[in-house]
Amino acid sequence: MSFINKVRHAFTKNRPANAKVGTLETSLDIKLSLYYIKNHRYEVKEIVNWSILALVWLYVLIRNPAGFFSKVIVVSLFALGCMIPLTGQFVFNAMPIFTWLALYFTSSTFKTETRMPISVNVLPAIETILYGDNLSAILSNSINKPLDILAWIPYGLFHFGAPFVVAIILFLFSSPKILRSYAFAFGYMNLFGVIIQNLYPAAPPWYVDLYADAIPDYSMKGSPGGLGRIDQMLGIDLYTSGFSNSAVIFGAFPSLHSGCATMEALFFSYAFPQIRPLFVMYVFWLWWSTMYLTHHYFIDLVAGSMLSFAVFEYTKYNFNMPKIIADGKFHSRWTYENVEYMSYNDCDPFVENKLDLESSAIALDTYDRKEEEGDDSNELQFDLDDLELTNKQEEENRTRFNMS
Amino acid sequence: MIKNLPLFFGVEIILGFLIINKFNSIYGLLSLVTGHKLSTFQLFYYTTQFIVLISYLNGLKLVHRPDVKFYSLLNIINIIDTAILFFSMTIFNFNYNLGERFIDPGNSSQAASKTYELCVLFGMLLVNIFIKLYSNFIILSFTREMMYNDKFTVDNHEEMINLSNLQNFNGGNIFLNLYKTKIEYNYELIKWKSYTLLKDCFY
Repeated sequence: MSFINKVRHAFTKNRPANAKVGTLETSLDIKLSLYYIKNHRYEVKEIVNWSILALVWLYVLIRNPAGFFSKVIVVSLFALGCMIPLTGQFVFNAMPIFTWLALYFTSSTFKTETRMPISVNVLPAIETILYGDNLSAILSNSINKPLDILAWIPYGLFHFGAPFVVAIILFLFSSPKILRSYAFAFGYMNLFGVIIQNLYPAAPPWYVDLYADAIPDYSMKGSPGGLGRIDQMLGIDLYTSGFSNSAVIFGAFPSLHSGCATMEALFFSYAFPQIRPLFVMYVFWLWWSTMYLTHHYFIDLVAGSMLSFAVFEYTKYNFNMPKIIADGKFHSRWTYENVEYMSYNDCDPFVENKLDLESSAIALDTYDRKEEEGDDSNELQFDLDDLELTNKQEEENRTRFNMS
Repeated sequence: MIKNLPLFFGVEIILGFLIINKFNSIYGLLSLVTGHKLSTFQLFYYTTQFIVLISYLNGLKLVHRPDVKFYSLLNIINIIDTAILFFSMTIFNFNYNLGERFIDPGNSSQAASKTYELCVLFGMLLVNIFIKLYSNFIILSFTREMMYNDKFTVDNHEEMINLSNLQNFNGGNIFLNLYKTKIEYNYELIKWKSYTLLKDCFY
């Protein structure tokens, strides 16, 4: 058996007969999409969702300095991508991510006069008042090469690849449709993050190291912070040029590095609860590296994670989050016969589970109702059985003793 | 939509927020490794925050199948932690010496003025205080709901027997005996005491 067949067998050996839930749409017929759009029952939350995305896109299209013709091409490509069922199943559901990216890259083109004033002093003050000390400064004080590399791995490497890796793993090894929820949560978390960063521009810790008492302005270049040492070590110019020309230079609050890591950890913890501590450790590692590399204050990390957690919780109960088979065994997306979605009632401790007799209170009127119906109660059945037995016994006795 | 939100969802969200805010204890204690000297109060603060973090983590773990006694204890811990928050905020505020740290932006329109920054600072602090205070009410109402629900009834007699068994435990080696009679007994006792205390308040 070839390697490809072995892999295919491993994924599909437990596939239930006629299960189509794990399969992908392969049609290219736009009429199918039109049919879905026409016959879909729109809920209020869906309308709110699409209105938010449409508003942001409208804002981006107005503010972006690109030519009218290129904007029309971009919109047409997205419309086409959404309408063709084959591509639409990905593009349509990833619209929150595309919206975030559109706003993020347009942010660098905003005119200085229209931008909010840059804050420098608030974040370190909050960090000390709320969390006891200037944690980011303390952790970035003792520098050495091994620590540089340890900090670079999650911040400079994993962060950029992790969303794709998480998406692929969720797609293959978790419930079907979970990728849709992940795209929604990931996109919205980043979108809200970039909106907050634009409304409240704040200088990261490297600013204080680099410019000390200088008055901030939007002509200033960004800095790679501690990642500059990695560039020097490896003899490359990756992070220095990348962070110097970042789209949002004064975007310390909230930390989207922290937000992304938390979102990835939350989805992985949901899909693979057995190895949850590993994902929590990853978030701790990234938090430390972010402070060590002087990219964020502690409050930024907290805010990013809180934003991420809030969006995840909303998605979990309100945006068709599929339930997973949590038995600790290997399951591919093709193992699922059908998809059930999470709702509040699945987790509400005050909702009685009818099947769980021990923990659910027995309704007081049950006995009376049964007595009135009087047909299928166990007690009555037992009596009838007794009667039947006695009749049979009587007949046997009659035949045995020749009694007429 | 917001009106029909179940209580456990509020508890789940608020405990998540509180847990994320309590991670400072880990990094605070980690700073000892870097050679940074913590004051006595900071050491006390980070240690208490770490204990509170563990209680919150347990609370979040139990939120879908809660234990009324543990949640009663969590309420008491949260109320004490709220007091610690106010106290520590005052102490750290004086230590930080807010007034001297602010850079004067002069006539620059691109840099935030001192008034703007102070407004944002107090706004953020107020949001944090609000979350902390409101968390008390959410967790309290969750516990009260459990106390009013027959599903979570605690059998007093059974509790007494359990506590007595723990106190007189003498079935294992010396370490197990010590753990059972001292640590687990006191933990169960404190949960039981917080439960009775809150029950007296609610009824």
